[in-house]
Amino acid sequence: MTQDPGLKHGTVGLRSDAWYTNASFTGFMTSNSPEQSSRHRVDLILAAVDGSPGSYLAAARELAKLAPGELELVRVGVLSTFTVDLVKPYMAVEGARRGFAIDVHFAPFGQLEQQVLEPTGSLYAWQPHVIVVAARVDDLSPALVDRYVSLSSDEVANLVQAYVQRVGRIAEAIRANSSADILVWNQPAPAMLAAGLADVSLVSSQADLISALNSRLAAGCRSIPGVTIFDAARLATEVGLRQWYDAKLYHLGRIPFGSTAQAAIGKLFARYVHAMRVPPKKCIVLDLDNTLWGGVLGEEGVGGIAFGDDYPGNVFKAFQQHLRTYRDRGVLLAIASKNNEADVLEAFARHPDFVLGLEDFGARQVHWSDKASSLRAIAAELNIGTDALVFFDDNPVERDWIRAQMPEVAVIDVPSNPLRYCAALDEAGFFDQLMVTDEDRARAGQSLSAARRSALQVSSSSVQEFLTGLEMRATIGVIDSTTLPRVVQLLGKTNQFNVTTRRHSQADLERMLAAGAIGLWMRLEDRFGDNGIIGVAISVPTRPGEDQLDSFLMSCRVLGRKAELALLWSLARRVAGRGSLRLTGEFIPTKKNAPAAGFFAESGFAAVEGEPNHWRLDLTPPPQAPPFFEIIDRD
Amino acid sequence: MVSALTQNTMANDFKPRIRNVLSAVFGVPSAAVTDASSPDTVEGWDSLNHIHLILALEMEFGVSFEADQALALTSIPSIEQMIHRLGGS
Repeated sequence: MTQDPGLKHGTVGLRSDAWYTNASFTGFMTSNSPEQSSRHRVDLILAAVDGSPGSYLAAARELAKLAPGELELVRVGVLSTFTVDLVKPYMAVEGARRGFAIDVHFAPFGQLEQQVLEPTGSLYAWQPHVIVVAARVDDLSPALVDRYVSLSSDEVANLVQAYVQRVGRIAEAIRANSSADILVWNQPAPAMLAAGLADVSLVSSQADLISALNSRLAAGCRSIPGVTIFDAARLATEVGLRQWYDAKLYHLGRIPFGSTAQAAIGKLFARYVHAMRVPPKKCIVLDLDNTLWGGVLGEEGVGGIAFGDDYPGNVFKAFQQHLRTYRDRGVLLAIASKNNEADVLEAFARHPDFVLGLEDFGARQVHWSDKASSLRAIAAELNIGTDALVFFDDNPVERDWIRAQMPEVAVIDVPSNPLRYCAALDEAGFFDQLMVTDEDRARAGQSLSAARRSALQVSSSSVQEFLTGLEMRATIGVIDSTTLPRVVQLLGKTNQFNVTTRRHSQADLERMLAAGAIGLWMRLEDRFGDNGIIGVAISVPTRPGEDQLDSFLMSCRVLGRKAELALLWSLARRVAGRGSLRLTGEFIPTKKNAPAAGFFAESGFAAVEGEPNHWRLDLTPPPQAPPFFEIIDRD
Repeated sequence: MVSALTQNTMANDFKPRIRNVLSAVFGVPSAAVTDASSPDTVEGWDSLNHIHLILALEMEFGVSFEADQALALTSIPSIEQMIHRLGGS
């Protein structure tokens, strides 16, 4: 086992709380590139941060001196009812840890409507990528905080309604004027309860009221595209309300929270930005010995490893339970272990307490050869890129090996204490996404039927027989508010069968549809299960009689099943239906979309002479519906 | 005698650390921070950075200033004196 001495990770270890490395920023790791020295500069700045406010300030100042482009620029506009400026250095430093140059502008506090209702105002002219709305209930509906006990239930309901509506209107105004991602703060529990000890006994307690207000706020925001709740309530609970609120700072400078809270806010904000701008990873590759259980299986045997309901086995049990929550929300699990496979199979078959079974892992590499080849084999088997892998291994030598061999893989800096495993995985944020869709939840069940499907593919004598045997049903419909989040998610993360790889935001897509684009989703079911929404097609009118394919993608889960023909057929039918004579298309090659390269030629498009990668499909007569599918085409 | 000596040593210890904190918070070289530095002479010493300064000093020396005390911390000698009074370390 060799370690590449050129790859220094010493600085990462110095950071007070960096449980992750920056391996996701692939470009920064290639040797001798200008990016590397730039990354190195950023690492040096971040290494000097020791957790004290002064060190954050000094680092933020250094980061501001970096040349444009050294980190990905994210412009953030903040509207608030209080002074939030103190958080700026924390936002800058935590953002830089995740690869972003966060440039924050604060509107004068208390100016909400004034800023958002003016389409030509300074907020929008600055073209922020993210707009934060932080409005405290203490400022907008103060009676809910300090007069709570004397209010009637009607008055309480009206004040809640007024607050939720006002914030909702602000978000809507931003949506109408900007395509920025919008982050709306919710409300932490009150610093003090108006009824004191008796609050918990009130018919509607003040504490319950605030959480009900947060639910209403979230419901209101869900209906506006591109709006996400910044969960300040949860964060304040994690920090602790006594540390969150700081009466001295509030009265000195209208800053409601103390320095611990400021640091936590900066960190959480950076996680949101990361989740907004970086597609989530898809698979956790796990080691076994001292990762999924305590001890070394090959030496101690099934009975000797630590796993169960007592310490230290319960620590590993808790980690397996935690991994199961990842699996439930659609993250794939895989095993890369140096062990005798027979021992491992026996452990999973015989250990009475295991939470995860072998069937929970989408791929397994158990042998004695190197882990980089194991990771490549896992990615190939799961049909995902190696850059969608996160590597979790307690052995630092293995981690360094993977970092050196596969810089595109995200490697978790696994803490030496297994009690910290769960937090290390969570705080790395590699699987952060702003919403969990039904498709994510269903994917866990699908990995099983995918395995059964592959078995069928091998046994079928021909592809036609295989496809017929799948009894596929494609449901196609027009993108609406229900399907929009899933469509945007697919646009954001589909790499392989993606003809143009245009990453439209929810707001962009809404605008396109309003301007006359045809946007379709496709759901695919077969005899093994429901694959969920796995296809998206968008065409835009270009000139009279002609539409252009703006986006066309299929999730890799259903590649090789001709499902693209069903989607194209429906799109062509609709385009022809509104009088267009032809559909044009362009293939935009990327590093990853080779699987889509043959799409136009294989589905009846003719190459446009003299224009490489440009194609056209005449719609007279319209294309035939493909075989193998029952198509339900919804209008 | 001993305590006076200790006091003296500590006083000498605090000053460079205070200068370092001011330098980090206001973004000026440590050498440029002197006993005569004040909100009037240091460009970055505005009301917002004053709050940053208070938080940084509290963490550096393990003390907690009252609001009135915090507002009065406008020079290195006054900061040093206050940290001594509050038993900073």
